[in-house]
Amino acid sequence: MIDIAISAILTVFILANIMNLGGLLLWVERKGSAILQDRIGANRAALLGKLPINIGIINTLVADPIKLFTKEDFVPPNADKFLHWMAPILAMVPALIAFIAIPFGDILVIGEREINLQAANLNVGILYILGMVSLGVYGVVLAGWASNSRWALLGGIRASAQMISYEIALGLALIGVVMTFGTLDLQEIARAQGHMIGGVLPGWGIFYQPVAFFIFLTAGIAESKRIPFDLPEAEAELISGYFTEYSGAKQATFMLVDFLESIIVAGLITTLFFGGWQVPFLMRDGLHLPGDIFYPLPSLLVTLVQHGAFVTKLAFFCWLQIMIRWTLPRFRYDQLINLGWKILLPIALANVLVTGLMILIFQA
Amino acid sequence: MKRKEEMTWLERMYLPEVLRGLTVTLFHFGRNLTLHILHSLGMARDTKAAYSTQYPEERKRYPDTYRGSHRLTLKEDGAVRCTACFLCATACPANCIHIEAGEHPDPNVEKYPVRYEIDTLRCIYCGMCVEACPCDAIRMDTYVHPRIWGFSRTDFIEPKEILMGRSHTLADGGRDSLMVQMLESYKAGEKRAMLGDK
Repeated sequence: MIDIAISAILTVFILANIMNLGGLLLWVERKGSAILQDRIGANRAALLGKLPINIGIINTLVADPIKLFTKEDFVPPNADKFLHWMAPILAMVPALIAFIAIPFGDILVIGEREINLQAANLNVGILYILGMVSLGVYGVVLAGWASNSRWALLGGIRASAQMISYEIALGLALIGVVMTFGTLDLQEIARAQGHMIGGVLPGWGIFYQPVAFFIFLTAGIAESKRIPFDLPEAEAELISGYFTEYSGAKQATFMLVDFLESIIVAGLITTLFFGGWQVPFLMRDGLHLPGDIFYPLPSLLVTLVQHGAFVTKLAFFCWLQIMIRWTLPRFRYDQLINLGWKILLPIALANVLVTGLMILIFQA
Repeated sequence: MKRKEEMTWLERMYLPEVLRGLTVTLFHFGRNLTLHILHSLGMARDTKAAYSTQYPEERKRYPDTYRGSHRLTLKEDGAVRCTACFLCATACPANCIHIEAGEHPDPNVEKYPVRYEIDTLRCIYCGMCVEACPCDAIRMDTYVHPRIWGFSRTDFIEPKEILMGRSHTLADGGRDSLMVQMLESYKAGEKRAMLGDK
């Protein structure tokens, strides 16, 4: 009974936090892009539209969602009303529940009880997340189909082709990581990255699988449909692609899904390649510095520091994706498919092969 | 003729070029973020973090060649220079200048405008009147844009007094004086509109 209650609390904690992070990323995206383009960005919104009160730098954080959620909810004539209504939900739910398998801390000790800081301790965590991310395609394709619009349909078709192509590279990049750590459980993978290589270098996944990291980052950005791989929504060619015919809260849902997917990608990169919640030299009982120096620390403090490290890394990779989004131009469709099938897939396969050989050599 | 730029091997690798692009954006991001933080602390205000002008709080000065609202120039004794020759009204492609001529009390001066009105709702600010005038009596060097809103149509019809008044204000207050005057009138008008008083 208590176990279920703890799981429920952790799930609500994660849901609330990543929804908030999604909203925050919208703000980071708007203000951050303005800063790097030598602009000021959105900086005025009067309360109730009349009073000359400017809520300053944070106003887009409040004003944008309020604006989006109070707009008219438009359904085009001859659209499939049921699917048009279902599509945002189908896109949103997998993106929201994928995150529960990502560990955001080691073990929280309260009294006698040890709580694993992961909402669902799945021993097939990676497969679960990949499955959920793949389900996201349905929302996008159905949105394109149900809208009764050629732009939306083109966007949906592009999305299905792109996401299926890049899922293969994504999965193959992960196989290298799984082979290195020998488990599909994300919490176990995070724990396995706690040692130090040669006493100085943290034993993070990127030092074992550098090639897989770049493939995963590329394919991950493509999976979350963001520039330079935002062909499904391509504002210039397809207006907004699959959500051209959406407005108000449903459109806000699709925007939020994009951000949630980039948070999932950032969470996976953090967990698989950058040690998850691991802080170099910090073990469960205290600080182990090189030269056998040991500072014991209380368990609660260690857990909090580790959780802080996870959040910092997650925020950094979310920010990095936004920086990439504002740096690169969009791929052409044939370039995109070429990159996925002719470059990323062979490299990922070669990476699996080399990883297998290395494991054989080092075990022998 | 070289039709297609071939990429070098390093450029085809794609990743180095991505990193090069990222360094550019990261440099701008870091520089501007630092400047924004310094500005909020009240430091380094002279270095701008953004090229945008925060209109309407900040305004750019109109350039020297700006063709703005009209003014009627004055003689040394403060009387209007215009001799009511109707050349401007004839040249006007929008038919917005209405002149009523009258005989001047001074026998050495032939005519003067009793009424001189520019309908700014019709005016297209082409400057033909200025070019047509043989006496340099009408000019557009007021460095202020035309009125953009008002409460009735009559607000936009500029009589002789307003056109001459611009010359006075400009002579007394300098280049920005008319702009300052217009912004004040906007503010007063906004207050009037807010109160619902017509």
